[in-house]
Amino acid sequence: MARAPGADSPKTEEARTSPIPGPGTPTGTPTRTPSRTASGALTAKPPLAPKPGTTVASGVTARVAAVTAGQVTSGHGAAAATSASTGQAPENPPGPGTGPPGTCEALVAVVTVTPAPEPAENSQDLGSTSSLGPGISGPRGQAPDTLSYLDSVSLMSGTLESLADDVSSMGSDSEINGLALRKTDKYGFLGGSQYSGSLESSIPVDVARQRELKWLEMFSNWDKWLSRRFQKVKLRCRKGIPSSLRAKAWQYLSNSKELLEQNSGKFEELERAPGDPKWLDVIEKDLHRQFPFHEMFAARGGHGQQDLYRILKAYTIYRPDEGYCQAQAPVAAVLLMHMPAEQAFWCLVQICDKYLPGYYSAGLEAIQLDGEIFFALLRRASPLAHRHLRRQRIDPVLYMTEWFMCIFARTLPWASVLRVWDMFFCEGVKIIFRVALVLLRHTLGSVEKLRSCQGMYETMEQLRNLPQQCMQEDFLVHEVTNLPVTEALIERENTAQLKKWRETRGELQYRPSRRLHGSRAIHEERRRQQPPLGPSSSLLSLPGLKSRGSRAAGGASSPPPLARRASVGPAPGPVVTAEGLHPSLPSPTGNSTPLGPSKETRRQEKERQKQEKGRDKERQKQEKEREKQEKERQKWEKEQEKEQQKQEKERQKQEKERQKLEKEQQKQEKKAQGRKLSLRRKADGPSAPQDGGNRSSASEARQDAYF
Amino acid sequence: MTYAYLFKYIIIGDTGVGKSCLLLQFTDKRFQPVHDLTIGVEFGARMVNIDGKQIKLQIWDTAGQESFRSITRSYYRGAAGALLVYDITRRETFNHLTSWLEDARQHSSSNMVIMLIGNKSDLESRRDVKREEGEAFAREHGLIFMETSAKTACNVEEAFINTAKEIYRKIQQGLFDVHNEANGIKIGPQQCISTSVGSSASQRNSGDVESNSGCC
Repeated sequence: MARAPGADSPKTEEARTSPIPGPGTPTGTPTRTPSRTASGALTAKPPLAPKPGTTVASGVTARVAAVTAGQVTSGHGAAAATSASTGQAPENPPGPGTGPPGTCEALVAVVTVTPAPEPAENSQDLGSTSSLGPGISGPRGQAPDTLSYLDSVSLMSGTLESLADDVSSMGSDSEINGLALRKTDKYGFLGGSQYSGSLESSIPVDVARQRELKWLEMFSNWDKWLSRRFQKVKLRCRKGIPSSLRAKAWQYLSNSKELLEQNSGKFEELERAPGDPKWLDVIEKDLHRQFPFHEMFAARGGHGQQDLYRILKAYTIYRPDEGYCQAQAPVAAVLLMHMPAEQAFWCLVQICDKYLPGYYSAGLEAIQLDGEIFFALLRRASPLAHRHLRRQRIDPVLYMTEWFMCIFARTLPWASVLRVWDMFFCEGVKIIFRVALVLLRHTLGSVEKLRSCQGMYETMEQLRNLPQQCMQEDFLVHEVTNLPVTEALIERENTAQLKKWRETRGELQYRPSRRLHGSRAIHEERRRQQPPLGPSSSLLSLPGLKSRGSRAAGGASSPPPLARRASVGPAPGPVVTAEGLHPSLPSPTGNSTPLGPSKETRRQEKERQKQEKGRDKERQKQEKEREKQEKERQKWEKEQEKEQQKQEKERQKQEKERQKLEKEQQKQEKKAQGRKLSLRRKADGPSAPQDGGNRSSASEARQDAYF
Repeated sequence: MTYAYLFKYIIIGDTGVGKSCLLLQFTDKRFQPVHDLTIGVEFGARMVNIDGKQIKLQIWDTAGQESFRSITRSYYRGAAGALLVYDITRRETFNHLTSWLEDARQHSSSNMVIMLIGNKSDLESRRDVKREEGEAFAREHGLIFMETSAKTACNVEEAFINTAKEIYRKIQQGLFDVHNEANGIKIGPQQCISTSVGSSASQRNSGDVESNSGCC
């Protein structure tokens, strides 16, 4: 893996690594990498961490000060760290990347929030053009090209309004008054439903700093962490990724970082391609409809909207079969709030290809299927809500479409959005299911709550206005963490629902690739596609590390191959055999296969084949080993599930008891109403709730058989 | 607030024709050029008065992009009225009306009242579809027709209210089974008790009692 220069800001790093695939192994530069950013982050931290609170409160001057502080202490990580947590996240990537002009840009970007629209707008554009630079080979040469292209599609023509103008049109919103206009919250929102005052709890400085250090350490040994200590990575994602390192972490977790490195120049190429007017037309219409209350996207034709256009367009060329789906835009926008366009693009690619394949494809079958899966899971997570929705015949797609397709970016308060995305990048779609289940459980999960949802209309209204309390960051994460919905369960339900779908609706029109459940699955797939090259004594000698270790052992093989790959680069020979072994998996480097000049002597050829055979054998051996480990892992997972299932049963038992109680209450209420059902109730009474209980327990039993 | 009836509306049409803006103009009486793209479904509600009866309109605003069509179909269920919107400055949005109409007819009850709306009438200089064409299309397919501007609020009230009037007329004529929620009409809470509808409502309630839905 060519992620050696690791831990400085994503931008610089990328600029540096793109020409040389791998100056060092992942473990090769441990001292250098963290120390650089560490120093930046650390020096920046003391002023930064307490600042968010104060900046939000005291407005512009404080924020400028914060950025300047970052700029003074170091040109790189510090600026990133500072601006990220002062609500300047969108501005930070260009900053550190371009050095002095970048930091200057960051400063000016802060000024955009002040009522000086004209110059601010200009410099914003400068900033965004400079952001084209480092990721792409010719930093300065690229900019005018893209701009002229954008111009040519009339994006810019006459639509460049000043931020102040745009903001004035938002003035009609009652939530925004003249004063609030000039301030953003710490995430860059000027208003709207996403605006979060200063209500949120902020993490103590020392804790934040500790976390940053831990993450920096992980970055410097990423593969090792992912393969051997994934549980720990997961835990840290659940605690929330430090905002200064979030962009980088997302790229590591999704492996978009490596994808970018392997495809250097590709984004630029996609940008230059003409693109299908059918898609470009729709994309253009959507640009000003993404987070219009975020400072980055508020200005028509501003750099946020430009970048959004660039990556959405690039995607339609990258995946012409999928084109553009409107729900991709908010996802792309969230990414852009954190990283420059090229990085955001590859991150988007990973989300669409690996995490949520099929979500944005024509027909939205994947979403509908997940809706069914979700509904099946709901029966277990909240039988009451499930029954209610079933009775009122409310299709899952009526309420979950936006949640799932936008990964809650337009549903939850922003602090929660970020926490959910942190977990999502690590654990995959499971998190989306869990969040949705938690939301439903707390919206429709009790008799009391259902009382106000007598009809479909009321229920839908309720689902559009979720209770604030259950969306609150800490509460939500806690609930999500404790919900026993595993990858295996989702996969099983997936199979079941797919079967049902085929029976009732025929074959799926669109067949998405296999969904990968988060970082580890992506990591493992990558390893399968690019298997180790040489004899694997080292591989086999690495035993499962701990008792828990089938998981760990599963990944233990990765560091050697990766190190080797980094130093060797995409060696053509082994790749060929790799393809032979896994014909179904396209190798990204497959094209570099030597074309075998016809003059090659047979002897050499044979020799090579012999060697290859040897390697093949070796590889098969490894493969077997891996399968074994995989099996062990599955076993372990099953065990874990069993345990969770036990807990689940316990919970359901309690739930049942509660329901019983509630029913009892209801009964009494009814009695009080003096209905003449008393006789019947006496006969049925004790058994009626029992009946319901039995039914649900029967279904539980059915579900339990699943595990 | 209490109401005599609740009607469910659905707003459909191509992306960018101004569906969400129409809704906002009707419910909040304001035009907001800056708003989030609709993904899935949005809601709005407002009370109107027809023939001295309070009627609550619950309006479902849908995503317009083609790929969302498969999902939009499930929104039709139980709609009493539909506003089918096109943009008078973009002919292709007019050309797509037939397929929208097909969808609407196929996935909703046959009594659903459909109002055809040519929106953005304030942009006269950029007009691409003549008013007469809209009228002809409406006549041909048995729709009510209106040109509106969500920006200036011109005809917006009328579009929603005339649709409600038409639905109300159909109720009076007995064309709608108001007790079946699948028709997109619901009788207001106080009506259950005072009118003859009460019996059917209590029937439903007792059904719920037996299965313990907890709804009542």
